[in-house]
Amino acid sequence: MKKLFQIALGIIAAIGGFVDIGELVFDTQAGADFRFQLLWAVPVGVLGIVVFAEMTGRVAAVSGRPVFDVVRMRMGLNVGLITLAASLLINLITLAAEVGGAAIVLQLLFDLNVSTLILLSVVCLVLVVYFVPFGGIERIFGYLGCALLVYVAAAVHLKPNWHEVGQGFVPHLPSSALYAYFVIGVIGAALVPYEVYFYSSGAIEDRWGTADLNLNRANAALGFGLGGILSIALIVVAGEVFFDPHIQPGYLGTTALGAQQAFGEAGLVLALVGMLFAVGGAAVECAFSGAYTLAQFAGWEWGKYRRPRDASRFTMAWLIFFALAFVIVETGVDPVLLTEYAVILSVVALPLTYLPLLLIARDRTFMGDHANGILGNVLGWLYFVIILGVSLAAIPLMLITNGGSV
Amino acid sequence: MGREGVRASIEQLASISAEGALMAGDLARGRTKTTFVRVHGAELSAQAEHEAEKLSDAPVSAGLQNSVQGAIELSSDIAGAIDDLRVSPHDRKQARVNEVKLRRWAEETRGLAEKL
Repeated sequence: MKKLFQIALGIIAAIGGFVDIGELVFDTQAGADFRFQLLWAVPVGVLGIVVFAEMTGRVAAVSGRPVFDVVRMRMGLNVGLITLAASLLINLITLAAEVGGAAIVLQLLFDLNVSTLILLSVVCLVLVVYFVPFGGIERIFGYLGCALLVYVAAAVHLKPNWHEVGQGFVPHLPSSALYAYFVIGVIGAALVPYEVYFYSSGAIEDRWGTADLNLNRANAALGFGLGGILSIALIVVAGEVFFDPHIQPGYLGTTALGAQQAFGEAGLVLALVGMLFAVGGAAVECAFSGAYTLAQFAGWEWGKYRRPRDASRFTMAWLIFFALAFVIVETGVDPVLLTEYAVILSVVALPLTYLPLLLIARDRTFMGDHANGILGNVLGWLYFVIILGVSLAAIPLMLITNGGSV
Repeated sequence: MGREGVRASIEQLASISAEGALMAGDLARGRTKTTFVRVHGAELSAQAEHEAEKLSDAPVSAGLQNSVQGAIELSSDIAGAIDDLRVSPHDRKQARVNEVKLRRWAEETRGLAEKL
């Protein structure tokens, strides 16, 4: 019973933690520009992150090695260094976008000076990360991020044409470069690597062993899977509210307006609270992911379960990440624009992390009886092909469509 | 600025106007938060002014002059109506009037874009 309760709590936290600023931006734009036509891309991305996360969790539980340790071991120092540099850069850009997003949401709620709110966001996040235990962090942000479920209620309340919604789940070939760009954006927003680094390192933080493999499967499949419902709801709401009046969402406020259209002020407040904790949680994950990758690559002591002074370089690393993100956002750069770059760059760098992980997870000499089965290998290689294709197309499409604005 | 650039800018103005109309509608019905109207309204009106500046500053061919001039005039109206919302977020009557205006301007601006 206690185990079931633990799984349920983990799943609820994962649902609330699934959506970050990438989904809030890309899913809303996708619904506004193409109504329901891009819905099929959500399950493609979500299944990808489930496959990827389940493998990292399993490798961590069986070997006690987090994903970046595996990358360096399997690919060697040089490729490992390239992967590390790419990951750190993407984590930093994403972290800056999330911090900026948190400040914007606070501004929409309280109408205070944005520079002050950026500082307040960073200070609050640092204090929470420093003083709250790992499980507490997951729950605070995961549970309160569930306020975003208002979009699921809004999607139903707005009474979309369910036949058209259903047709949106049938994949079809891109009709334009813009459509292809948003396919990549929606899939990429679900597959951002920091979530996997965090998930894998979290498995070590929670001291998972082989007895926890079912918990790993449940968390990955149900948590990310049900989290995908939030993405679908964001697209449906945007499709209903913004498609007909030809609104091109370029602000987080526009995303919030969708919930307001359904439920008035209550919907608006729930959406903003959900966004605040979703992007706040993602900011914590990004800062940790950056510190995890650096510490795991360099062989430093790491982990939130250690006291800060016992893992001083790890602690310093995530503090520096927050400080750098603060400087980037204070320059006045648009967090929504940063998000688009972060998602597209993540997609480009994804194969560098995914391939070594796949090779390790299917290796029976390393994983023993817990290596990938037939289904794991088929899905693993299928997704490697998808990820490779998506990563090759991402930059050209971003340039052709001027970042989705044509 | 080429035809595509002008068209994109005018479409952006139509989008801002349509979004302003949604916000005004919610304000008129007491279904929003004052802070949201002030902050998001400021973003939208600044964006409308930015698009007007882009259209005004960029050299365009003679065939596009009329559309550009029409869009610049509309952008000023759109930004002004959204500013009214954020300056007087408790004035529901004004919000109702501005909702109708913003919806009409969104259609007019879209019409300009479609002609290009």
